[in-house]
Amino acid sequence: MRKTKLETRNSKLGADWPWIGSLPLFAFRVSLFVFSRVWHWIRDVSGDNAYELYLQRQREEDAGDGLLSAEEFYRRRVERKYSRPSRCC
Amino acid sequence: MNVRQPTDTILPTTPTFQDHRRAEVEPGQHTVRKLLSILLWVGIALAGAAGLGAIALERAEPINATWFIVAAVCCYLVGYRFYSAFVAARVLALDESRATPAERLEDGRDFVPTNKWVLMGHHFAAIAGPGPLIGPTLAAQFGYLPGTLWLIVGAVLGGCVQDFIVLFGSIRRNGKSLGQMAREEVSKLSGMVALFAVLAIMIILLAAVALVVVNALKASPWGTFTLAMTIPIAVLMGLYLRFWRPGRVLEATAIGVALVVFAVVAGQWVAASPSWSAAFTLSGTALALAIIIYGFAASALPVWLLLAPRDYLSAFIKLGVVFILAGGILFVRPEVHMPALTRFADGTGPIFAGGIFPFCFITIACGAVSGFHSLISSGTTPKMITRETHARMIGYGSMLLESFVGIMAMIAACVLQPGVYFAINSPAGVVGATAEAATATISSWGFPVSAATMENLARLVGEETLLNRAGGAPSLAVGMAQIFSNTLGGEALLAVWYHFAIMFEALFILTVLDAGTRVGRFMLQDLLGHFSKPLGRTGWYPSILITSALIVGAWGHFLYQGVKDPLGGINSLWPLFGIANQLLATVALVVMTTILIKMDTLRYVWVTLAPAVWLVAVTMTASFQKIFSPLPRVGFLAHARELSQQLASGLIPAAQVAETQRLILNDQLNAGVTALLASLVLIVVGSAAWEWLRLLSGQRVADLQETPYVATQFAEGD
Repeated sequence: MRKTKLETRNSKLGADWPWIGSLPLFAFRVSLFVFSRVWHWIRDVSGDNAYELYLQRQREEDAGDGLLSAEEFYRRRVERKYSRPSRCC
Repeated sequence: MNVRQPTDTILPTTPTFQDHRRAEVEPGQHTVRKLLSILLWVGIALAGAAGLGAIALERAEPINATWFIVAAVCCYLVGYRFYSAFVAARVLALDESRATPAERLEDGRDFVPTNKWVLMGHHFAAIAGPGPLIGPTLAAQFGYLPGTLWLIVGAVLGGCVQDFIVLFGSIRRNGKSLGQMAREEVSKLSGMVALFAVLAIMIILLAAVALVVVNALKASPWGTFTLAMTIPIAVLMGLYLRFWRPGRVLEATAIGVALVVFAVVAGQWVAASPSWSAAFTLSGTALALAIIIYGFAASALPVWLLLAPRDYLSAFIKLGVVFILAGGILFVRPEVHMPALTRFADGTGPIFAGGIFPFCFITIACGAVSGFHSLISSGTTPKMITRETHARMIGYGSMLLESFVGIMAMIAACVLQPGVYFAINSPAGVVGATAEAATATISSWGFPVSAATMENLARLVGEETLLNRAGGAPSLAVGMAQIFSNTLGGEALLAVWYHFAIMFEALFILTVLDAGTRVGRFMLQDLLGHFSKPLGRTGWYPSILITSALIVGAWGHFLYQGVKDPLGGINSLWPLFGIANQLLATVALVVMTTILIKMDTLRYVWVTLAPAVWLVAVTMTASFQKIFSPLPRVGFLAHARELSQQLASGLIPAAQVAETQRLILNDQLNAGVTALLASLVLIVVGSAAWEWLRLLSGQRVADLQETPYVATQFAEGD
C-alpha cells in the first residue's frame, strides 16, 4: 500500500529522532512526578499526614502500646502548636 | 574559647563536599561551566541594576510594574547567592557535619528532623503576616521609591540576616528562645527586659492590626457579613477535624475554602437586601467591640474549635492570593501611576505624619526587617532543622519571599491613581468629612480626583463609600481587585474581587489576633506564675479567663482609642507598632552581635552590627519625634498640649469636653508607652555594649553557651 504524505514524513521523523514517539508519555510522567511531589509537600506542610507519620515512627520504634488515637493525636498537636508564637505580623 | 570548624560548604570557590564529583569532570569542562555561571550572574546583576535604574530614574511617564518585579527578584537572587553564602560560610561557618537539635534530641513531637522544603513551608507560613501587605501600602504616601528601595535593601542586608542568624544561634543552643539567649549570652537583665518587651510589643501589634480590620469593615455590610461567616465556617471545620475525620487538614480546608468563597459571593445579596444589610452595617465602635469579644473567645476556647481551623484557612488563602497576585501582575503588567516621590516627603502626609527618615522605615517594618520573626526563628524552626546548612535557605530565603510580598503590595497600592489612593486612605479629620471637601483638598495637593470618580468606584466595588478608610486594607483591595479583574472577569467581577481581597486581609489579621492573644496569655501566665502558683497553670480555667481578659483588655483599649481618634488612629497606632517591632529587631541583632563577638568573628561583626546601629538610629529618632516633636500631628505631647489649650480657651463645645479629655489622656499614655519601649531597648543595647567592652578588653571570658559538637549520623546529602 502506498504511504500518505504524512505517514512518509512521520516515518522519516521516527528514523531521525527515534525517541519522538515516547515524548508524550515522557511529558505525562514528568508532570505526574511534579504533581506528586507538590502534593506530598502540601500534605507535609499542612500536617495532613502527621498522624500517618506518627504511626510509622511508633511502628519503627516498636512502641506498640500507648498509641494515641487519631483524634487525641490531632488535639494534642494543635494544642502544642498554638501555645507559642505561631504567627507573625 | 570556641573552636571554629570552617568547613566552608557553601562558597563555590572553596572546597565543597561535592568536590570528588567535580574532580571527575574534565578540567576544560570545569572552566566552561564556571564561565557560564559567571555570565549568568553578571546577567542577573545587570538586569537588577537596569530594574533599579528604571524605577529610580524614570520621572516623566508612568512606569510599568514589571520593572519593580525585575529589580526586586534580581536583587534577591544576587543577595541570596552571594551575601547569604558569605554569611553562611565565612561569618557563621555553618557545619554540615554537625548534628542539629532535631537529630540529637529527636522526640517525635518538638524535635523532629524535617525535610528542608517542608520546613521552609512551615517557616514561611509562620512568618507571613498582614504587616508586609499594610506597611508598604501606607508608606506609598511618600511615593513608590523610598518604600520599594527599603523593602529590597532592608530585607537583603537586614531582615534576612536577622532571621538567618537568630535561627543559627538557636540551632546551636538546642532551640532556645531569643529571651533565653539574651539572658545567657548577654546578661540576666537583658533577658528579663527582652521578655517584657515582647509582651508589650505584642499588645500594640494586635491593636494596630485590629484597627485595620475595623476601618476596612465599618459601614460595609458585604465585608462584615463575609468575615462574620468565617467564624461558623471555622467552627464547622474544627468539628470536622476533631470528630468526623480527625486530622484530615486538607479535606477540611477544601470544604472551608469553598464555603468562604461562597460567603464572599453571597455577601452581595446581603448588601442588596435592606433588612439584612442593616443588620450587618456596623459602626467603628460596634466592630471594635465585636473584635474584642471575638479575641477573648478565641483565646479562652479550646484551640481545635476555632483557632486552628481558622489558621489553616487563612494560611491556604494567603498562599493562594500571593500566587494569584504575582501571576496577575505579570499577566496584566499594570502601569504605576504614583509618582516616585510625593510632596509628603516633607512630613505633612495625610495618612501618617512625619518625614521619610525615620517614618518610612518605621511604617514598612515587617516587609524589610521584622523583629517578630526572631521569635519564630528561635521557636519551632530550630528544633526541626535537619542540617545546619539548611538555615540559609529557611532563614534567609523565607524572608526574601516575605519581602517580595511587600513589593507586590506596594505595586497594588501604586497602580491606583494617586488621587484615589489618597481619597481612600486620608482620615476625615485631615481632608474633610464630605466627599466634596475631601476630593477638593486632595486635588489641591496636586492629585486630581473628583467626588463623582470616588462614588463611581465605590459603586463598582459594591460599597457605600470608599472615603476615609485609613489603614491600607481597602486601597490595597481596590488595587488587587483591579489587577485580578483585568486578569479574569472584567468590571463585572470587580466587586467580588474587592470583597475577596478584603475578606482575605481581615481573615488573616483575625488569625494573628487570636493566635497572638493566646500566646500573650501564655506569656502573662508564665510571668504571673512567679507571684501566684495557680495563676501560672495554663490549664486552670479561672487563670485562663483572667489572663485572657487582661491581654484582650490591653489591646482592646488601644484599639478603642484608635477607632475614636479623629485623626484616623492609624496616625498614632501604626508608628507605635512599627517602633515596637523594629525595637524587637534591634534587641535580636544586638544579642546576635554579642554571639558573633564571642565566636571570635570580630572582623565580620558588622554583618549584624551595621543593621543594629541603623535600627537604633531609626527607632530612637522616631520615638523621640513621636514623644517630643512640636508638631501636633507628629508629637503625642504636642497634640495633648494643643487640645488642652483649646479646652482652656473654650474652643471645644461642652458636649465634647469629656471626649477631648480622654484624647489628651490617650496622647499621654501613648507618649508613655513609646518612652517605656525605647528605654527598655536602650537598657538592652547599653547592657550589651558594656559586655562587648568587657569581652574585647579581656575582662570577661567569651563563655559561648553553644552545645558541644556532635557529629551527625545522617548520611551525606540527606
